Amino acid sequence: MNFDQPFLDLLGGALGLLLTLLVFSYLLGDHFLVRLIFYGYIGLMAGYSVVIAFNSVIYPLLVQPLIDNPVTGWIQTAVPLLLCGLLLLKLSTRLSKLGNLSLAFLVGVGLAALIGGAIQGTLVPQLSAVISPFDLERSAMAAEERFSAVVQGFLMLFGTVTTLTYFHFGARPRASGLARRLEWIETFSWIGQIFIAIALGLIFAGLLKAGFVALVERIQTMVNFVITLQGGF
Amino acid sequence: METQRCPMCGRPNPPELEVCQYCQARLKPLWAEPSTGSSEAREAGISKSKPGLEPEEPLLPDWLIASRGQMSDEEPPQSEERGEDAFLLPPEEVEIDNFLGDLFSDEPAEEKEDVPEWLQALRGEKISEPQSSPLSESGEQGEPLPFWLGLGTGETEQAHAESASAEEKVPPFTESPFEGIDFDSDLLSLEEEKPAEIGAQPDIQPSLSPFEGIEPFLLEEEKLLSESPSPVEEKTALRAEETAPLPAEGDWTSETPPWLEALPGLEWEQGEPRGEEMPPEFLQGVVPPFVEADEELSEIEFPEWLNQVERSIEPELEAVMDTLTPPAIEMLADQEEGEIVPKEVEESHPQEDIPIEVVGPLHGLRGVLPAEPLVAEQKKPSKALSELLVTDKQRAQAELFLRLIEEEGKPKPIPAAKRAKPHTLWRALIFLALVVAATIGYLLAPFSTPPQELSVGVFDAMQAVNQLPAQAPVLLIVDLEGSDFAEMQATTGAMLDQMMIKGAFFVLVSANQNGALQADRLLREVSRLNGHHYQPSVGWVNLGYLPGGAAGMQAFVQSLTEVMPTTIDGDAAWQSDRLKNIRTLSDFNLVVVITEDSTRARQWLEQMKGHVPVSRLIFAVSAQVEPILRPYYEANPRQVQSVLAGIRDGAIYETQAARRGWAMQLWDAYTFVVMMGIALIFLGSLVYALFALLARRKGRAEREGR
Amino acid sequence: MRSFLRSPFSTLITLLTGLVVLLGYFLDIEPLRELRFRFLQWAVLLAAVSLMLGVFNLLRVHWSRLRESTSKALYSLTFLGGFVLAVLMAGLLGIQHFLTHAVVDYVIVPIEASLFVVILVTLIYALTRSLQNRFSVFSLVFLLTVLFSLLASVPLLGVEIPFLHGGESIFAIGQRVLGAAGVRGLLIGVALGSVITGIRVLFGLDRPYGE
Repeated sequence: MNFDQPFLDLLGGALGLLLTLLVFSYLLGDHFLVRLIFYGYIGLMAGYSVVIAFNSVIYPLLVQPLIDNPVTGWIQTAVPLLLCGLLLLKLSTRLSKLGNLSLAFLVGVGLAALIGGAIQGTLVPQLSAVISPFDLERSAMAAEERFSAVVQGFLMLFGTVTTLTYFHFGARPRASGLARRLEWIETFSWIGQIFIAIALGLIFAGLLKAGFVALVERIQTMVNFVITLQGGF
Repeated sequence: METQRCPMCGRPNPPELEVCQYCQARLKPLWAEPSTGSSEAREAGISKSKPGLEPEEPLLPDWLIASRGQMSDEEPPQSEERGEDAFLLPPEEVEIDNFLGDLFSDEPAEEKEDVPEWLQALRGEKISEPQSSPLSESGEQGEPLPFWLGLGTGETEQAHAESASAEEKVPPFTESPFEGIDFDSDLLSLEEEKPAEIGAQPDIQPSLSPFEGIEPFLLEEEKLLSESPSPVEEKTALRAEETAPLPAEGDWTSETPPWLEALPGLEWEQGEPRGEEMPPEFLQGVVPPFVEADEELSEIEFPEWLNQVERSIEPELEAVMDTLTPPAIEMLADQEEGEIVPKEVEESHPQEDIPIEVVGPLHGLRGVLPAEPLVAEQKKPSKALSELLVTDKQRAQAELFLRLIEEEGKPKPIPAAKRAKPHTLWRALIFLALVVAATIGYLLAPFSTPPQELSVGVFDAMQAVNQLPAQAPVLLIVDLEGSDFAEMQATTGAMLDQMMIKGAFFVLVSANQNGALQADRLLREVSRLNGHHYQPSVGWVNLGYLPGGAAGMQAFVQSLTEVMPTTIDGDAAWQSDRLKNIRTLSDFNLVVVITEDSTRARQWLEQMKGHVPVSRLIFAVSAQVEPILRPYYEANPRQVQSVLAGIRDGAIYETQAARRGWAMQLWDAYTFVVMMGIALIFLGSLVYALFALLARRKGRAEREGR
Repeated sequence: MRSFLRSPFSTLITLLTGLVVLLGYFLDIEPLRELRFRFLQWAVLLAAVSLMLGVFNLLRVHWSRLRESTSKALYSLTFLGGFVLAVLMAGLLGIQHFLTHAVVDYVIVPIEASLFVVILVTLIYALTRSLQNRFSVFSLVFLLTVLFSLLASVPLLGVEIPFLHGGESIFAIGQRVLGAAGVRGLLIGVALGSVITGIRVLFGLDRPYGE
């Protein structure tokens, strides 16, 4: 058991077993007890979230400076206090529009971080990675490895281009009235779907693997509990 | 179904409509009562040249229709028995007479009882008492006659007596409109004041304007005709001069305006009793219907010159009246030369040779420029044009839409669930199979074969951990949910164990609320399982939750001590000896990101670029995130030092480190469960694929069998 | 005042703050760096406050349900009870307290892990029916990829098959090349979409924060 208090461990174990079995019963259909468990779980997480957010961010960044030094603290926290105050006005029906200023600020900063990270963290490095197999001078590989590296590079490039082609939705209306993409785009798109299917299959398989581990862990915990109970009795 | 055709656009309309539904033209004239039967006059005036034309809906005024009927030697019905509402009678029952015929009637004036004073004055009769119009017999009273009706009446019975033929009739509205007219006494006085002017000049004086002295607004037509009057006009003027005295100034009732005389379609008939007739369309509502009266219109003696003129111009006038059409009238109005009728009208053909128009608004008139078939041949649009061009797809969509609308109001029966549904059973079976496999695998461990080959990711991670100095500060970014805790513990257990052996000091931070709780639990479990005595604040500090997503990550990366100055318990985080030298991320000896969320993993990697040396960055992720991070790991240059993915890499790490941990505890059962899962997926897909193929074959056979 | 606070002003705020933060990724100028950090720090604060607002709203909804004594009042009572318990334990006792740990160990983790198992079973069931619902090349490729990935993750009946297991196996190479190619295309596409969407919102073409 996890704790030094055997009784607590026993009680906790029993509770965990009960909760596990009740949630497993959800496979047979929704019922009152399962819903009760879910509501209780959400309440717990909401409470933890509030305490953690307050302890981690709000208190040290907003409250603590005011307590430490009221004068400099007010100067330091004036703008964030104002922004937070405007955001709190979102609770009011009449004044909720004032909260849009804070939301606009939050959206602007968040989007800029996303854009900057996407450009410098993904776009540039990944595009560079697509063409780097063809840079035979830079890549420190033996000659026999270069050919396979180039072949793999071509496959990688082809797969990347066809995958991106699948998301090209520009189409022109034809004489028949139907809007269809160009023939070569349709062909590339079809091939790109193959690569996408492979990629998604790998991700799905990883999800199944994680689930298998969770199942094994649950079964193991329950079995251990039962064994402990048997051993205790 | 019978329809009525619009006179303007020619399209068929339902019979009950009064206004065309296409062009908004009136279908039914503004009659008082719709006609119920057909009359000879209607038949003469209107013929069903187009299908759907209602005989009850005449397009022409009935005075015109009646005149045509009279042209075909039909006698209008008698109208002596009309009551006060005689004007409401349908037009076919009203005879259209020559509106000036009474003026030239041969009947003595004494026989006419109800001739108004002004007409008498025009005719030169003595005005002894207020005359009652013929309408008074029928009881209709009270509507003043329009002023222009009194123009040019001239002498009385003499002019009438000399009128041409028995076929001519006095127009009805010369009688009935005069009934009850309350003329200005001045007009009568004018008539009285200048009796000397009565007695027309026998000589024809075409230069003398018959409308001298008449109000200017009455002389609009006359202005256009002043210069060179046509022979008809001359004759008309002569007639006016003969039958009426020289009009004094202001005596506008003395002359008949040419435009009045030139009205088409009227037949001058004389002496025959007239029934009640409807006034022309343009007078309806203004002028009451004309009631035929037995008495002669005029008790006024027409001047001799008028009678003479009438006699002389009667044939020509008749010919002119036959040929005049509305366009010709308009042309007359526009002509400055004064010719009333174009010369070609003089050369008009005999009546029988002139075709009658049978379509359109000019239906019934003679001498009209033919509209069909040369100009506007109305025909039904081709069937091809009237059919919509609908593709099969559109038809199918339209049918689907109709079906949806039809089914909208229909309640769908709720099938009673009598037994468990197939998918519930299948899911329960799958679950049982997996549970049984996990239990057997855990208890029996039949196939205990740990993975042998060292993967590249594990090797790189081991290298990075081995290079850690003792008691090095290590940043653990733990973005975990409780559902994946077991797998992440299995993945990172061996690595964390190795770090704990080296006495590393952990700094925990999480970008989700649950991660802050799970981070603590992870280190507790690893410490407990591997016999370390790591305690909070001694072995690690938990900075807590970092909100804001990518923005929060960027803020943390830029200045972590300012963004998260305290621990989750409120203690100062960076004051301890272990962390006092930490200012940026690069000050940590190792940064390990532990997450099962691919989005967060990608965001951390993007935001930390350039702030953490790649050699110190390790990602320990769930098996589902590994494909997402592989392109970053295999990029050239690499963006991350190592990627540990799933329980397999954890088991390999434990095997290489020779430390049996959580991964190996789960490995046997995991192996068995995976094999069971493979079998379930393979068999289940095979079964359902066979079902699908059989269903397809069955469907194809049914379609071919039809 | 109202017109002053309408969408053009909000758009201006979004644009200015976004530009300051975005430029900091490419330009390293001291004043810009300081201002950028302040903006990011305030964004962290605002995100925490918005989390509190969300929880408060949730509380308000459940409280009103409890007062109205609807059929779902018991669920709302359970939610409120869990919330109060968590706040009391974590707020008064602390996150590091063993009771808090006990709640995490015996309540939160079992519920989450069990729910994940339910999802796993549903996913397996859906995968087995995928060919029946849609029999196409892509469904077949997807299914075969899942099967081979699972096969390559564990020894089959205790035996590791050469062409299937190992770093240089056919499956590993196929996963490394074909799988990575597809994922790389997806990553580039996602990054491009994020950039375009972000620029649209920054310049006011889209306004997700309302008027």
